[in-house]
Amino acid sequence: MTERRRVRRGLLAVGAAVLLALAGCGVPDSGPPVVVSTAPVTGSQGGDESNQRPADLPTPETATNPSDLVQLFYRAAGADPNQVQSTVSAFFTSDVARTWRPDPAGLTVVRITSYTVTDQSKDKDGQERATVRARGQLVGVLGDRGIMQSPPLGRSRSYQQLFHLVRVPVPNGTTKEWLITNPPSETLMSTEAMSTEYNATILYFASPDHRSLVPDLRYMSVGVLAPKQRTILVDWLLAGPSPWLGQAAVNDIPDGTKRRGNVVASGTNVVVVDLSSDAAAAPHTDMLAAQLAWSLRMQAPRLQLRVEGRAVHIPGVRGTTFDASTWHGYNMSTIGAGSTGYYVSGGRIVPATSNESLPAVLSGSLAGELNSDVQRAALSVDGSTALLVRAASDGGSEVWLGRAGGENRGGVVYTPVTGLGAHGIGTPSLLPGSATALVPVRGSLRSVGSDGAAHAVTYSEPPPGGNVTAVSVAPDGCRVALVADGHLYVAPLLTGPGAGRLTIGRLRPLASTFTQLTEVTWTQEDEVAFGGRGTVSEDGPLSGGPRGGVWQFSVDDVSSDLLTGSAGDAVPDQLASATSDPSKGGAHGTILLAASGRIAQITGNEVGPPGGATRSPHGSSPFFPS
Amino acid sequence: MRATVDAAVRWIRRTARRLAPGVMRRLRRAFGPWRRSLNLRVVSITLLVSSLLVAAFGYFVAKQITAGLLVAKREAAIRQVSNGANTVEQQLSTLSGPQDPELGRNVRDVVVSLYNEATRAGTYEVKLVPDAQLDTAPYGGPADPASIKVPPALRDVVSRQGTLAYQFTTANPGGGALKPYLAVGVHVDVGWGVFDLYYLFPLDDEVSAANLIRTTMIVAGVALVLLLALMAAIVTRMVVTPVRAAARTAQRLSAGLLHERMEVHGEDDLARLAASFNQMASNLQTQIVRLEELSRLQRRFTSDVSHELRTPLTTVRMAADMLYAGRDDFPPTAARSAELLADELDRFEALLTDLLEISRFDAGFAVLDAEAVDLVPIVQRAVDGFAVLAERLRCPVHLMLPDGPVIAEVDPRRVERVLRNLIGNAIEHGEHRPVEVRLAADDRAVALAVRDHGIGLRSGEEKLVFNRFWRADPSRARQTGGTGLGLSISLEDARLHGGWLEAWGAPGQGSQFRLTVPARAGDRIVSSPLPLVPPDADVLPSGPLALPPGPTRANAGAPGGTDD
Repeated sequence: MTERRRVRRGLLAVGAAVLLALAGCGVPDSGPPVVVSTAPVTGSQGGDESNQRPADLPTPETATNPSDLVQLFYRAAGADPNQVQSTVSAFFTSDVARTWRPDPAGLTVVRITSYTVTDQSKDKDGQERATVRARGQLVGVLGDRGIMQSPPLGRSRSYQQLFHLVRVPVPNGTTKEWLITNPPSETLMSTEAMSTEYNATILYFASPDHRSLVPDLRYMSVGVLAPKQRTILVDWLLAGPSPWLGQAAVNDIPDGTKRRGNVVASGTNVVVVDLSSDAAAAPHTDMLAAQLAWSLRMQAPRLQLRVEGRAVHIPGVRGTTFDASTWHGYNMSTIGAGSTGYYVSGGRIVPATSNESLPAVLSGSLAGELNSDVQRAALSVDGSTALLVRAASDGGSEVWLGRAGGENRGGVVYTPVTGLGAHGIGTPSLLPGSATALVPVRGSLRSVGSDGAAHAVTYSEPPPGGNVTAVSVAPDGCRVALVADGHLYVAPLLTGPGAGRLTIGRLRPLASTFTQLTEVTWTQEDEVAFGGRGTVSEDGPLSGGPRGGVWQFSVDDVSSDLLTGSAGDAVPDQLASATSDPSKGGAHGTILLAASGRIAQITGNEVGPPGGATRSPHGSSPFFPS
Repeated sequence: MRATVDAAVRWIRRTARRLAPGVMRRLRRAFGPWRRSLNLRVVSITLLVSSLLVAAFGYFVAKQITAGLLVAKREAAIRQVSNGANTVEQQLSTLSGPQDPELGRNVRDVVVSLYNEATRAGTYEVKLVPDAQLDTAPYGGPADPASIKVPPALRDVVSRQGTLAYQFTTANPGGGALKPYLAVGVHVDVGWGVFDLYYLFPLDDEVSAANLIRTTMIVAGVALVLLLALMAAIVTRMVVTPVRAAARTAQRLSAGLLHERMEVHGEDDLARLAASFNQMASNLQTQIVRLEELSRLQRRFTSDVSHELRTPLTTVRMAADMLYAGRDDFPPTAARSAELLADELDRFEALLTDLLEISRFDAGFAVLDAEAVDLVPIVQRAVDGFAVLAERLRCPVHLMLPDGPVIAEVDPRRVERVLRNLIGNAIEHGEHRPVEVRLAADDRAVALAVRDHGIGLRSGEEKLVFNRFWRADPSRARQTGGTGLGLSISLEDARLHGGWLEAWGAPGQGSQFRLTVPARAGDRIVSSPLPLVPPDADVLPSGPLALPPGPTRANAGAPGGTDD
């Protein structure tokens, strides 16, 4: 071996050693698992949110008698939406339980006023049998997205269901239980059960002019966990307003927008709503955020809107998080809440609270001249507009539209309203934020524009009656409650292309069995109060036949309450209310009512003098700014 | 068992003994050039050391960079997985429970949202594995969920121990060849159930970076090593070249070329070394020339003196012979003086003869008159010449000769002179004990050994006996009238033959002198037919004895391996 070859071989060996050394510092492709840490114990997103309700499903063996079993049966469908079939069919005898299926249309909600056992005996085999009649009113069908769909306008609301029961031994037990042998085709649920098994939840959509929020009442099962409620609410928001609202509300979340993941809490008290890129095309981002904030305000203290995972900076909002208070003014109910009421006393408008004064539009020199012989009035929330119905010298009535902001006569301008006639003019109701008002005139509904001209209000569906005697515009200005032919309705209010051009949408009847209805007013954004006589239960605490007074119903006819429970049986002639602030809660706002020539105020369920007075003053025609 | 082990050990020892010389010879041969070449040694050492340093440095740097890349990747991956776990927990905890009809869709949605998320960890595969008690299937993506394989060991650690863990593995979720992946898993408890979330992060970027780093380090390292080797070679060459020139010059100087000088370039250290070397060479040349001149003058003086003494000595000899011849007519005292004069004149004449012979050796005039002769008669004749003396000193001489003739190309006169010298010395120092004379021969050499059993030689005297006028014990009386130059002349005679003259002795055991000459004149001898140490000696010598240096070294063969 030559010396050169030896050197070459040595160089190769050294090179190989270097290569082997460097080859040892590559990226590993194997190895044992390395534990970084123990996985954090996570679980649900906070104990206070995991409102897992206890399992208290109604079962037939707890019923003590046939009537009790039927009452439990009306609760069963609402107890657990995920187990309707098993829960409800448990009330049926085994032969019919196997074939019974839930109604795909949803839960039929009925207000049961009485359960009557019409027959209870033993048959020839010695088996106990009974027949129970449930009577009440049909409220509607609780369908998808928590929407309560009212029955068609012409359909009778009267409800009656006859149940045949048989008493059979409890399987694997020694006792007996009553079971239904003739299951109804619908999946039934009583309003009473609905009030306990479902939470009324308000979604908010935008008004057509994108200036305010329009409430849309929905129902969420109390069995749904709070974290999931957020996701469900956002899904409902994405699906748009309920059909009943129609064109009175629009969705400022663009069509086609999808939810990216569930709506979850990220960090402390911040809930993230992550939407698909379609949301980036929203022309009214502020209204979109307001919809989310107000709709989720009970489930999410603070929100962050994300599009495709990236936080959205909303104009006018500091940071990327917001809550309902950020968009407080977008809910018109908050503006009029807590405002002072007024009434007419001796032909003059006076504040219901003694230490209050009249707004400028009612206290200027011109107004001072016109604030006489007043029969009814309406006032805007900002105090800039007033509509006065005054007694004319010819024995009729005249209507004046007053607006603040002029240069003469104390800066108030009053314009006589034309086209309404001189007789049969009811209590006007101003649309919020405008000078347009609705006025019932001799059974018809007229709108008064800012120019003082009156127009006939049209209906998208022909009203069953037509004799409109009272009207009240909701704080959002997109819904209206009216009394026509002695029946109470709520309907969407559509604004036409011209000033004062209004259209009443699909009418939804409320309290259909009530009589002697006088006036109606909005006490909450989803509740109306009216004067009338009726009953909601023949067996419950309000039993004892129809009661006169001030009743409060939800706009979908589900919930009801007699506000004047301890104040006699009189039906008030007139009433007015300021809505409660939805951000603060409250059963209703301040209600002023006029009965027997005196003014009274409802606080809670107590009726008393208004404004801390010792006795009810003389007066009539109460009203609140709207 | 023990016997087997012992046998194996013995076999190993035998094999090692058998192979060891060969291995050592190969090693010596392999390292021969390395030992001989300073340039090769420096370059190879530089190459080796720099390679080790560069390799160590490159390994450290590459390892650190790669480790840094992997740590960054791992931390980003863990952060990503932790965020993913939060997302899974947030998303799935909103469900009502295992029976939620939207569970399957939510599992798919959350996985899709996880792998669609743009992160620093790059692209990755995600797999969400529900607990076995949950009635929903695992889901993963963006690759086919079935192709996303999670290492079983990682699944075991994550699922059973409820941990966040990672593992380096290989996978091919997209098909094709296996590639390195970083698998990270975490156990997620969503309140109503548990899931295992796994991410597979491809390490393609890290592999590419590591390859780039490694390639760069290798190329740079090899270039650096070669550069260092080249620099070492250049530097060594710059240093070694003058050293080699100095060595060559020194060799030439030692060969007698006293005018040889180194070239002096520049003014650096090497130039000073060359100048100093040249100065030293000049000084040495001057000294050597002076000493040669002195030696030459001394030899000439000795020769001249010997020659000049011979003429008057002849006259004195004639006169002394006349006196010796007429001593019977002299009174006893005068007769004894005449006898003493004759004896001393014999010794003086012998001394003069030896001096002249030494002078001829010193002057290089000695010439070998070799011819093929039978050495047996020469030996017998030399022994017979000492018969009277031996008898007088009661020292018998035993002659041990081969049966046949021993033919060798030698100068018979010089061989006989050497033999007489050795036999005379043996009889003189034999202490009345027998003297043995042996003659032996082989194909290449002829040996003569003269063994006595006298007082012997002390250690170190084996070399001194060949010095001129050396006497072991100056107080001892000389019986044979030697001049003190006999062994010196004998040594020169042996060298002139190209042979060896060696001595062995031990106190109390006598001594032995061995003359070995080549059988054919001019041949080189490598061994002797007779041992230097006699077989009856009790003490073994420490080794073969070397010839003392002599002036006719060129004609004397170096002692080689002997059979003693």
